[in-house]
Amino acid sequence: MASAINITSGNQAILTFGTTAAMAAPGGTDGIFIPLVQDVTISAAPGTVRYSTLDSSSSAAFTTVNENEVSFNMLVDEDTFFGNASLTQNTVAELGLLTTSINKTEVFFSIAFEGNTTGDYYLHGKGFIGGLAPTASIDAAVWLSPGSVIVNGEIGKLNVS
Amino acid sequence: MTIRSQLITQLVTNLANTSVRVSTELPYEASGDDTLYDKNRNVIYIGDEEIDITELYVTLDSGVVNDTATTVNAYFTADAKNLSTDMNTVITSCLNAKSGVTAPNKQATVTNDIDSDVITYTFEYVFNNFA
Repeated sequence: MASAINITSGNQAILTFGTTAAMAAPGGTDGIFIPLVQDVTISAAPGTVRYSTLDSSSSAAFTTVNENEVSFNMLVDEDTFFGNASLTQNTVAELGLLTTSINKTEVFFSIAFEGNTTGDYYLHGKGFIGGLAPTASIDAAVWLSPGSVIVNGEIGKLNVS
Repeated sequence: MTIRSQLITQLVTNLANTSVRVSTELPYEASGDDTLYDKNRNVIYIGDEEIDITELYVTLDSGVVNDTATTVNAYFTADAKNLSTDMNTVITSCLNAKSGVTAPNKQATVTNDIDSDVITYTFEYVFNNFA
């Protein structure tokens, strides 16, 4: 029977960064999960080229390479954005999202689809943090920022072990 | 210090040397249907706080930023036939008393209602805090 993945319990749809794949896995030691994320979008779009031929009334297509990206919107958390110098085991946590983005450092990430219980599905990959554009207004009351991970290579799926 | 207390403190300061005094009592009904501000003219009574908490942001990790709106009403009556000459000053001072409350968003409005020879001024203060 079909069953939607409910994300309202607070431990699903969680984005985690690390300097290794194991660290970035959901619940991974020293991984930094991004708090206060409002929404997250995973885009895994194959590139395509369309072409037409004289003997067909419809166009044909072939695929090129996948272009993968993770985008999100968040409320800016001080430690996550600017870093926490005491978290030396994970440079993303130590330096924060902003400096990691400025340094163009490649990082590993995961997105917990179902949580961090053994067997739960998650997506993983590596890439570069970008798209940070913090905005503030008196009506919003807090700093808000979009962000993205420009994925270097494929997005894979795994189960929490 | 509660928002009501901060407001009373600022009203006492702002209304010094005017025709209106500030009471620390709630505007309860003293006898019959008469509230204290009906009974005692030119005395401003500040009601208790009404609090409305709404979720401004909810995040995927169950984080919440709340908008806490605290509303306080204040009332006083005056003789409509013979309005005090400093009434404009009094009203402006009452509205400006919102500045004495610690909150990022502050609003103050005043309405009035005349019944026979009595004019009743009703002030509504709304303070928003985000956390």
